[in-house]
Amino acid sequence: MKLNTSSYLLGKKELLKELVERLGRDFSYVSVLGTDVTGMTWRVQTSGMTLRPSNDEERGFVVRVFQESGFSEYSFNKLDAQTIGEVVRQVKRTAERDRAVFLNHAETLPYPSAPADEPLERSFVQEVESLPELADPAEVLNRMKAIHDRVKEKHEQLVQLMLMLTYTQVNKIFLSKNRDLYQSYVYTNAACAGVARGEDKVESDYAPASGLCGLELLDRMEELAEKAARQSVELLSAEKVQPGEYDIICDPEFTGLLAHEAFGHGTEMDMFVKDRAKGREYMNRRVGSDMLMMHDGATAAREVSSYLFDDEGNPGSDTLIIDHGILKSGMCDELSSLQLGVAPTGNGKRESYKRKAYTRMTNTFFDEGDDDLEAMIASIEHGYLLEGLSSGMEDPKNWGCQCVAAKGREIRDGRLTGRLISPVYLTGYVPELLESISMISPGLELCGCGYCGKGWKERVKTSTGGSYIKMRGRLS
Amino acid sequence: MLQLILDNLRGRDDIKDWILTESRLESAELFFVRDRLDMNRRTSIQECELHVYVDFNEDGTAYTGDAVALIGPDDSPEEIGRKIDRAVFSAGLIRNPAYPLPGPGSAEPIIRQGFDTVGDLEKRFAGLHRLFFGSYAYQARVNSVEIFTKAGTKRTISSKGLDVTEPVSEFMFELVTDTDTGAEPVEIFRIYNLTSQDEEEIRAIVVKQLIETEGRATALPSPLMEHCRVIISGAEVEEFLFYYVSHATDSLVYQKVSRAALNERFVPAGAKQTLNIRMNPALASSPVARAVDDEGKILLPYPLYEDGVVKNFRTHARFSHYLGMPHIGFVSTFEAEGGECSLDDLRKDDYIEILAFSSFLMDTTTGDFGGEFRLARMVRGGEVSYITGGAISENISKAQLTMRFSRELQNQKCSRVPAAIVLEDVAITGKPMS
Repeated sequence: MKLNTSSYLLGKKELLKELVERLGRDFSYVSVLGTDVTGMTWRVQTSGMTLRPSNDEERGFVVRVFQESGFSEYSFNKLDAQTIGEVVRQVKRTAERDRAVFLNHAETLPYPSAPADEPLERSFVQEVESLPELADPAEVLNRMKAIHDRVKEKHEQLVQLMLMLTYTQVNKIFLSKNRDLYQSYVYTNAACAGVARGEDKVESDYAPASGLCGLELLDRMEELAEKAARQSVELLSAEKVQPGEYDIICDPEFTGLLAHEAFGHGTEMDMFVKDRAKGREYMNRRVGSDMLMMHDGATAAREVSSYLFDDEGNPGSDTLIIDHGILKSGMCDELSSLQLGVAPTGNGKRESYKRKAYTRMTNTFFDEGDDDLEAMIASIEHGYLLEGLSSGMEDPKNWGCQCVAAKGREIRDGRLTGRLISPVYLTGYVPELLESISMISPGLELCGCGYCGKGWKERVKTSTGGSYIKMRGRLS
Repeated sequence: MLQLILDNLRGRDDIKDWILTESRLESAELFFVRDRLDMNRRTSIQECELHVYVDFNEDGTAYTGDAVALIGPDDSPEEIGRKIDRAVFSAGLIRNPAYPLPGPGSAEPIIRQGFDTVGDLEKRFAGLHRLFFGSYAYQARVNSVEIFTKAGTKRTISSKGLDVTEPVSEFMFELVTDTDTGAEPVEIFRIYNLTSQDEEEIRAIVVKQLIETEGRATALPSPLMEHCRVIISGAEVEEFLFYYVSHATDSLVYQKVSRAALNERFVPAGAKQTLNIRMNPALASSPVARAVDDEGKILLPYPLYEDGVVKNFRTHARFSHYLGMPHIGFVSTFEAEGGECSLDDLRKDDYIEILAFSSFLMDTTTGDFGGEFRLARMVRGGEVSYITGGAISENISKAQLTMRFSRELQNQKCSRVPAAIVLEDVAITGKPMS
């Protein structure tokens, strides 16, 4: 069945059209994005339970206008027949008066033209197995509590077990002089985390799942809880890695982190405009091994960042970033596309209607290959199988890379020894890391349980993935 | 909006307690590429968050459930009613053992001074532009700046009689500096959080980052090294010390994640550094200091650690009740006492001072900390050089035995903490030395 659309946004559509029309008298380009995001988060843990709105819940609007002296935006969350005049006044104040004051002391960044605003009228309302808003919250909670109790009882050293299920329905409307777009889609995250206590240490681990779907992930909750519990207890025996260079195998989750941090951020083209990305000078040059293929795009996969249009009203796409080791393309938002003279790729995303749009990743992954995981393990004399992701940080200007894995499993003489290391930092120079990829397994997996920041801010939903890859890297 | 919510709450007997927070915030934002103004933005947002508490019995057990409703100015009276009804229904499903929501307390809230950061951006823009893009005696320069100012009020009202309005004022900027004077172009970027546009503070930040960027241009790949004296400074000190703040929190103690116990030593007796941390809800330098916590408790300062001994826990109504301890509130801002040595003393002998991490991580559950660094100053036999691309990975259980704090203090987003911490016997990952 189809999701219910946002009666709030559709109820405001005529006012939004009026807003675009009134501002269009003074500005060469006007657009408005409206968001109505709802959802719910169930959390059951050993110390209690909660039921809260989704973290991403919000409702509001952002107007963008363009004039010869550049772009301005105004974000707000009240619009009716009485206040539309005030919104028009505030947009004009921001774009005309404020901008004139600032440009008394600074030059503007010139744009060759306004956005093309090619005509486009489309709508997308996602089909789901069942509407998440109709789920009985008590039934979901009781089922999660029962799973918690069963799994917790099995693991003596587990002091905390947390089960979390959250669905978020995103409703967005975008209007400009020539565009009339609407979309409703829902993504769900399930995650379980355990905390285990040994004699002299505490360890934790988690197991995530995500999808562009309703509450179907609840069916995987017991498997995730068991995995998180088992892994947390297992980590109590983990040791520190001896710092050095090793042959490593990355599991799909960690491969996804590598794709995201190592090259994803470096091909966000707003960084090209600021001359902050080395990728710009490496276009059509080799940046990785011949077997490496990398994609990003809202239509490249069906995951949490799949949508019809981005927050600037441009259609989502599938961008081939790396083709057989050659850097072929970046991803681009609207303003950067005007600066660079390229077409936008539908990657203009906002943390919320309250924030600016930047070039952001969507669903980012390395393509699968055909090498067998067993053969990868058998080919390693001394190295590690890295599993799970903890965090990462980009360095697009200098192609440094920090990716933190939850743990590593030691491989000696072609076999897993059972010895664990944790935490594990993989660092190094990105082209060297990517050039060292020598085997890629079949079985592409994506996960979008976390958020991606731009530097240390602007959190947006993304998914990342890949399959098992063998490479060489520096661990600490 | 606020009145509609209060009208709905009045006379309801299905809610035991409620806390309502209303935010009225304006912001102004500027985005620069080099010294040229790209986009400018304004926001004007009103939001309410209603937290409801419901008591109920099931199978002879008493429970207190809670839930939250987010309400906006465009919500109709009917929609507000539906959201509150849904929150009450949701709270009735939450089977947490019963606990009381204590009142705000009798103390007067400490309301800190607010600043009109949004208005000031316009008034003081010429000076700000000069501070970021003026002429400095360095080859490194500012690549780009994003400025975010926020001002307004946060009002908290509760069923227990609380009604406190606090000012909100934030001045945040992301500063990217770069230079192409070395073998390869390099950059450093950071975010800074201030309460106002303090020109001297901003100038010092810009100059320090320009100097560090020049250092990165000359940096060589970090060698693999063991048994190093490592100095961490800046925002990483706050992140490091947050491990201790986090562990002296009632929820972590109740969950058995923390082994902290009141009036017992948390830092081992043999540690070189005594630990003194005080929670201060009125920390003037912090843009996130608050007079009232999320549960409507008026906050006062209290000691968290004295000489490494836990003196108090940060508390929530629920967990403090479960642990049978007084509820003193959840303070987020803290002050840590400095050590006996000056920064100059700490920088004697050989050391490696990490000036810019890619991303410093402190796992407050396990105590694992570390990260790759983009720039470090290496001093050996009095010779100074810069290195890049190394990484550290340590655990606090070992590190706290030998750590020492600088006497000098610094302001960070949530704290006033030592300017630097020295760690001994640290391994640094890098390229093996030939």
